[in-house]
Amino acid sequence: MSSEMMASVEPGQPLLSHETSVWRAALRQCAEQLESSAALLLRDREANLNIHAPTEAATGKSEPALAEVLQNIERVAGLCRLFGARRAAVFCADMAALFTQLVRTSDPIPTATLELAGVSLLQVTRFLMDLRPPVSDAEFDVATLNALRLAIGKSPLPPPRSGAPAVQDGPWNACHAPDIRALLLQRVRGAQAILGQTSGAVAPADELSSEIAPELSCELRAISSVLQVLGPQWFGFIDADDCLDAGQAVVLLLGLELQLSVSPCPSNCPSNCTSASPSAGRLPAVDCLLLDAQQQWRVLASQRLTTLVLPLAEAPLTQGAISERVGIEFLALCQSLQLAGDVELGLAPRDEWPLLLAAGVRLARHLLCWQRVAISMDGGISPTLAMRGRQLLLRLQLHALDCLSPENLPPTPAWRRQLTQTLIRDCQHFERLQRTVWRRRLAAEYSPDAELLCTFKEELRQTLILLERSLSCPQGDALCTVVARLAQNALVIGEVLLHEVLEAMRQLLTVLLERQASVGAEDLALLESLREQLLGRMHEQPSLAEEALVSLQALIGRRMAHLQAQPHADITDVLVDVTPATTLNAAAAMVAEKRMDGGRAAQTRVAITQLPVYLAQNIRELLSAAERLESRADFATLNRVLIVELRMLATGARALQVYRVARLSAVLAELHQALAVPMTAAAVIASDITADSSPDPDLLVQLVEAHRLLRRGLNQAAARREVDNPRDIIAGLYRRLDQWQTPPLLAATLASPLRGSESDWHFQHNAECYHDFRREAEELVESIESDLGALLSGAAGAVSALLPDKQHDKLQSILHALHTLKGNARLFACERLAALCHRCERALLAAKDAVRVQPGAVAEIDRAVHYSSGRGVQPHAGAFGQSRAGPLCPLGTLPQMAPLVSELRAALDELPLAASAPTVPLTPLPPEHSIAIPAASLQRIAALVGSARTQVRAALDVLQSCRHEPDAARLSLLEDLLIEQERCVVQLDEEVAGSRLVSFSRVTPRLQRLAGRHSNQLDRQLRLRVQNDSLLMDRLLLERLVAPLEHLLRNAIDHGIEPLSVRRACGKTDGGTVLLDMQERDDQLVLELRDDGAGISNDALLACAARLGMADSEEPPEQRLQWVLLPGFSTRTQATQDSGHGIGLAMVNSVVTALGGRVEVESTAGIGSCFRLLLPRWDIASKPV
Amino acid sequence: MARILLLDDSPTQTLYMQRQLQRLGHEVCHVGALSEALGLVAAEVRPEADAEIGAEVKSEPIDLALVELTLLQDNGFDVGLSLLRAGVSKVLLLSGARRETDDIWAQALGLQGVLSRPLTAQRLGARIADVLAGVQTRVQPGVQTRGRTDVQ
Repeated sequence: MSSEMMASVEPGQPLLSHETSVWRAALRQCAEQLESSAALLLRDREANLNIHAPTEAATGKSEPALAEVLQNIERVAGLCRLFGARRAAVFCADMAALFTQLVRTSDPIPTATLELAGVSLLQVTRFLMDLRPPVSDAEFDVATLNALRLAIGKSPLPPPRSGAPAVQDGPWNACHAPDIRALLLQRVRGAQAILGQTSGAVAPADELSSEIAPELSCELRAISSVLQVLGPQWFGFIDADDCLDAGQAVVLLLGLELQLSVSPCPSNCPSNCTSASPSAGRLPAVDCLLLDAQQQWRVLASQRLTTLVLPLAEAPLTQGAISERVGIEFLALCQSLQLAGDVELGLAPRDEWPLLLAAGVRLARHLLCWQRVAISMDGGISPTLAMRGRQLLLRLQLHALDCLSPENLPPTPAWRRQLTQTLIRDCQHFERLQRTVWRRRLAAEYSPDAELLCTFKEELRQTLILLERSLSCPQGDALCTVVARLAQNALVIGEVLLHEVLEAMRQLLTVLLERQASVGAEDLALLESLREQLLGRMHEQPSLAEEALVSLQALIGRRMAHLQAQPHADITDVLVDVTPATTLNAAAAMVAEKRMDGGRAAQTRVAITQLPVYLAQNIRELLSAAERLESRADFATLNRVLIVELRMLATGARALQVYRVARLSAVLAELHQALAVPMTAAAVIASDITADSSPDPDLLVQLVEAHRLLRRGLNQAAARREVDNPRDIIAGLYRRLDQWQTPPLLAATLASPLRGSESDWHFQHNAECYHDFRREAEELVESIESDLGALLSGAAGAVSALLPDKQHDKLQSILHALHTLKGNARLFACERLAALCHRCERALLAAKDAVRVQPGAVAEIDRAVHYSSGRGVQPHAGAFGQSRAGPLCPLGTLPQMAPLVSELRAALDELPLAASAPTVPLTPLPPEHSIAIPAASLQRIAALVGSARTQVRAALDVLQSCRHEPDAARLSLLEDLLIEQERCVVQLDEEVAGSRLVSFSRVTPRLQRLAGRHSNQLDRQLRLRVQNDSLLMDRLLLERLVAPLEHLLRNAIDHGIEPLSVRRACGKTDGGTVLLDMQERDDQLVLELRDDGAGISNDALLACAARLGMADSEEPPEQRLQWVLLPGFSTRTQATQDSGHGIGLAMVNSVVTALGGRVEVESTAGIGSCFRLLLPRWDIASKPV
Repeated sequence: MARILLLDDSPTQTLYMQRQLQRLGHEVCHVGALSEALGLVAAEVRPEADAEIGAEVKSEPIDLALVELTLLQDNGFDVGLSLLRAGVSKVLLLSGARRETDDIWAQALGLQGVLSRPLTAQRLGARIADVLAGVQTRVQPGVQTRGRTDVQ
């Protein structure tokens, strides 16, 4: 001991933290206890010094005192060991022996011995009072020790070698408080190390082997004594002797580690006094967590931890495995921890999270894997593995709890790092061990012989070729299947590590599939390197080194973690309007509710994982009902079942993001609904459903086919394969619906003649607009003619001059042109032209289907053409397919198209060249118009008129009599009658006015339907919300507004809402929102259609302006937006079937202008657009009808 | 002793399964695709078709079909349904990548369930015996309860 050293320690009291001062106090208390008890004992002994044999009573009295002294000494010894004061510890042990000797011996004790005991006691107390272990320890030099040893009859220690190394002062020399916690942890870890040496060799239920047991017991005793000194209020006491069972020791030690690392300052935790061992009851740390009521998730996590710890602690080692549930729970916990990491609650340092979690997830996966092996391999799990696994699990929990701990006492970073490293090392060790065990078992199970290996190699070769091919055009599900197969085969030949890597890859791909994300370049690179490894394996090259695979596994793991860190795409809205009145069960309602509450992402995930179960519960009903459709009996009942099930399925599938299934089931539900409710207006259906209420065979065939596709799609989705695209079937079903739903729904709801005369008041347009339409119509008809000519020239020569796909292209382009022409013609009220187009279109479509589907359908085109060859007969949709001619060559029917097209040309030529032509209406109102008045209203009106008439008659009578002799009484009677009559007229007025006002909500379903269907056709996800649609407005006004609104809606879907991929790329929600809001402001009616789509790009505006040669491109941006209302102005360079011609918005504008209102456009590129229609509220109401 | 139809397109797995099943004392006929399987089943339903298929096909009924869930060209659910429709009474799916919902889904479709790899002779034997005896294996209860609590 050098003087400098003393100087460096001595100056002043070190700055003590609160915790340290508590410990100091504890130490002092311990010293005092020791001193008082020992002093008592010594005094007693001294008093009886001369008595040769102590009396029985004296012995009886001194034994408890001795026990107390010994216990105290033991504690001190433990402390000494903890602080590394080895000599002091030895000294203590010797002192304990001395005291025992003092008390128990019957010989007279020499005074020197008593003095020695007193001196040694003083020495120990001083040591405790001024605890600077290395320095203090040095005071117990060999001479002191030897004096004690001599007294108890031990051989003296050899004298110290000269030049012994100077005592290192360690952490005690600075102003730092001794980190007793860390020291304790070291100790605990030491004990674990001892246990770890044994665990390889211990049989499950064994006691610890004899050479380990004393050592471990000693360690435990030291720890427990320290804990006792540091206050029972902190940990309670641990009975070291109870801990000799290996399993318990593991649990105990880890429990200790756990407590040491998370338990807050000792004095703050009085509630812990009672907990006897960490595995019994709820963990104190968990209690602390529970106090933190604001952090709900913490409570949840800690509860889960508790439930995990308990079965672990209770499961006797003999039973081997932890239940699978625990494994799953654990995995869930890891995930929630990861979630918590996202929440950023200022927990663990961020840079350690990934490392820790990666280890945790890996471990959890392995535990699951291990469970599976345990289960599948029948035989119990190897005890070594079980022990290791449990150790790891507990350690990981410790980590987890550590991360969850309230912020008041974060363990030192160094400690944390050390623990992480230990964890990772343990993990690796565990994995290796597990692999070995597994390989051995697999080899025993599969016993791969030459034949199997040969088969494997051959299959590997082929699968690799397949993989290579898949890589060149990556498709998630195909890759997934290939990888899964490789993984399974790797297991057959005992390549466990390879299997794990492949499994990880498969899981990665599955996650991608589940999220409907495409396989990225990163994943492809991973697959490529996997392929290389496998190639190496095939050629028996050493390149299949373990390291390479392990690093590959790490890469896959990292990618997975990255993927999981990304926010999951949320549930998009359900397109099909689900009526709550229908018997949707709770599951669907729940889904719908979830849909409303978009914010709870975590719950959404739950919904996604749980939904297959809900779907499955009903799927049997659905399938069997669909099965029996073919038999046709009992159609109505089946239909009802199907409507419900299909709606549920649509909702569920959309929530699962299996859009194709959702779409198909939505259409089917709509179709079945239509079959179930024969609407009077749609008389067509009635003819479809014959007397025995089963639909016509064609429809049934179509339905069954659709159901088959749906079932297939469901299975594909369940197997995580790509679902077949149901586009064609959906289109077919929609065609059916379209057939039934002419006349349009609005006609049924508003009972106004929308169809019919060319002089339809429906559209008002200005001259420019009309001119554009006329010009385009010319072009379209020309293109139709030329295409048809090309087709015909092929067909006429009996040998088609065109290749089949060319034919198809031509047909397609004709269809396209027809559709466009039809749409435009409708907009401009050229109903004849539109009807013609429709007929042509249908004929062609039938022809096209016939080429693809069945020759029988060709009859339809024949019929259609027959119908459409003029005569203006409205084709009766239900009549289709009733008479069937023999199969014709589809192209053979094309010549019959020619008259149709020439008729088209004729109709076009009939159209006036300019809007000023007399046949095109310019006046806003047609000369004749009718409106529907509710019957009740009509009755009231009739009654009013009747009473008015009788009053008039009475008044006339009175007036007549007044002529002869006018008197006051008669005059007053006349006055009464006139007043009464006026009241009648006022009522009549009100009634008439009232019957003209209707609620906007009448057309809401129609708009919803349009939105659903249109977006379905264009593969867009969106939801139309209509607000305040209870607003009343004039019936005529509403009728006129429907078309512009429909157009605006279509426009929003077409131009506004982006495709799914684009939306995701922009970071928008999957489903777009179109909001239709309306309100009354003063005298104005404001209808606002707002979407959250792409908006109108300024560049596109300018480009189009340039194209049109508009000079005033210097206008301010807000003004430029108004350009879109100009005829011919379209920001699209490519027109589609429905839009992009620059006509629609111009039409909207002209309609609104004609109604005395105006259109306002607002848009922000990338955010969305808003079209606002401002209309004078009174316009039509004040005008005569 | 039962007649088992094995449908898998992986030769390695097929070979292994064939061995295992034979070791368990079952008669195995193995096919690589649904069409083959249907041909086989049809031959049993209509014994006169024996001649078309070949003499080696016996016309005893198939007791159980084991179908791989992830086939390269198809998926096991569909195949299983088709087999059921064609007259096979029991279908058990085999899967290497087990998911919780597979069992539920399979049973909803009327299949006997999903058997997950790695398989041991013992487990395979027990499950096949169960299925043949008509014991429906329940879906893991732990999985379900967890799901329920999570939803709440």
